[in-house]
Amino acid sequence: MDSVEQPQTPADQAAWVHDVLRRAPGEMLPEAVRQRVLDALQVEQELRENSDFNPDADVEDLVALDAKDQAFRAFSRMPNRATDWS
Amino acid sequence: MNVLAEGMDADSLTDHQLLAAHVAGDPQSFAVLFGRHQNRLWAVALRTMRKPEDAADALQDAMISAFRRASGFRGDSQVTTWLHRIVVNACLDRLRHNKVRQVQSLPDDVDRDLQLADGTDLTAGAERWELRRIVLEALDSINPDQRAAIVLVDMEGYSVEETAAMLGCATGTIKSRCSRGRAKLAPLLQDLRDKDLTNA
Repeated sequence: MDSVEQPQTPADQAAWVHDVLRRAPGEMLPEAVRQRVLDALQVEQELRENSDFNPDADVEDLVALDAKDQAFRAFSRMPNRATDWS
Repeated sequence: MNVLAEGMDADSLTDHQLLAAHVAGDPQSFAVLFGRHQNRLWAVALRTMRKPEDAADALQDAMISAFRRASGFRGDSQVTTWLHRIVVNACLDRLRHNKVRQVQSLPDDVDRDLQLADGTDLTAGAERWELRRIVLEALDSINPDQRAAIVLVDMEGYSVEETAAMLGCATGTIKSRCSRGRAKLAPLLQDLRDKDLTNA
């Protein structure tokens, strides 16, 4: 890094890039983002404390459950065929 | 179970213990765990996503996911490695599904209170901010998979093997992504060599 010479080989170049990236300054989480994440985690905690909440449920499972629920509701609203034929 | 209410010092607990306490129902231990690693997790999210607003979304997604999936942690890696894996995959998921913000800033205006890990804010350390800017811009020019590998190996110091496990691919793939990524970055980082900012 002390040299200002262009790296001569691809291996030198890769090592130089690695060194530059390693020296890049670290980042500090902005307070606004930190608070937002903590707020979201607090909501999750409250959901977890609700006995009806299943933290292991995947979004796909919830979508499937919702679809089944809607199908059942639609089925319940269907007219009784025996009645229609009478 | 409430670890902190029982008078235990959170600092004395290992990451594994904090995660176990969370799984057992402790209401505060996950937040303590997040606080312990927040800056490095943020760095990974920011360097992978590039825009602070997108990084904030990805980090939040990842922490909620980790909160929910903690019981599935098998303990065969460091907790911080597991958290990094979740963060980087949340970032890649957002990038692949183009779930990035169409607007440039949050109401929170995250850019306003950006700080480097050493506490340098936007009003000080001009050379270090210039180095940061050039590196982030250069990273933005390579594809997300190469970027994730470069961030984890070159910037976060993970081994190729650990990175391969995090990203779910072969070690050879990580080596290849790093190699190609570095080759693309070299000319983009040339300004740093010319300005000698890396010694700042």
